[in-house]
Amino acid sequence: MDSNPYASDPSDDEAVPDDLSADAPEVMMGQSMPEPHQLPTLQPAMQAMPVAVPEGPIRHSTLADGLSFSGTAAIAGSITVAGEVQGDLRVSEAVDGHVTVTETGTVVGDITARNISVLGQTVGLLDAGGGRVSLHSTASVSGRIRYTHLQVNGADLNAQLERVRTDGDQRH
Amino acid sequence: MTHWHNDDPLDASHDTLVIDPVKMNIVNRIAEGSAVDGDLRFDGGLLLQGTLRGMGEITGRLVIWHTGQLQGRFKVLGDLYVLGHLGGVADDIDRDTLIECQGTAYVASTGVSTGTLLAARLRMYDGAVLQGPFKTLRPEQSVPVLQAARNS
Repeated sequence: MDSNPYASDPSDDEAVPDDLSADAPEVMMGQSMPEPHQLPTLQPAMQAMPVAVPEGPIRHSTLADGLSFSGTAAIAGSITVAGEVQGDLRVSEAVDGHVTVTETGTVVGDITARNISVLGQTVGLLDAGGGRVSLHSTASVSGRIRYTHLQVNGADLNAQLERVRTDGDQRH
Repeated sequence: MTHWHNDDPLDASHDTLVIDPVKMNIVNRIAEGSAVDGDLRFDGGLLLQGTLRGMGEITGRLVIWHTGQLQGRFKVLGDLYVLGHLGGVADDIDRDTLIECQGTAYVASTGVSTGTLLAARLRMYDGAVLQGPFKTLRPEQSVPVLQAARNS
């Protein structure tokens, strides 16, 4: 920026017009999204540690790195995909479930869930109508996205986007 | 980038953009209430607070202010900041609007885009609306947006 020919020089009387130099407004862009390498994650040893479980069943499934799965999966709860999935993943709408595709994960097929986070690759529909989709900078996503809340942080994206309004919205 | 304010990456606070026209080389401005229509070329950045329609090229950064609206086919050589409207104000997809951004497209929480957007990188904040196709531009490919527009 130092070489910017438009940069103002205090010693120069006619440096920059007042309406340019005095007017440097700050605008809010929105809530920031952390970079993937800065996301807090549990080490495997920590994951095995017993924790105080709140009331009610907590179901979390993991499709580990190296595991390849073909077919349709109906999930109660949440799932982390670190392996390969050819087929559809469906989390029941009644559950506030979360599908996470990690950096090693690949899903070719449709994902239906209230919350979807992608750090890896997906090809197909991401359906989080009424819910939230987060695409991190390592993600590569192609296909269609249905969302109510969407955050994208530099992901490789080639998709048709469709915002789904919730019942609370005035206009439909 | 020097004009971003968020030092702590784990801080779930808001990203703030400081619109410094000098640092960002924004030498053009379409003020609120103004409407410009035609085949246009802006040399340097543009702060769009009014309405811009037609086709053309912005050889710098483009800031679409909260009051701003852009419709048509435009190529932006710098970063694109969408705080207002890109494409029609209605919810429907605006098939006549096609923007090619060779830098990063930032869609703020107040931003609404209903056109087709091509950008090297996309950063979209919670609350932003993107309706329609988005495609990440690869460095090797440059989509001839303007040529297609002029030939049609």
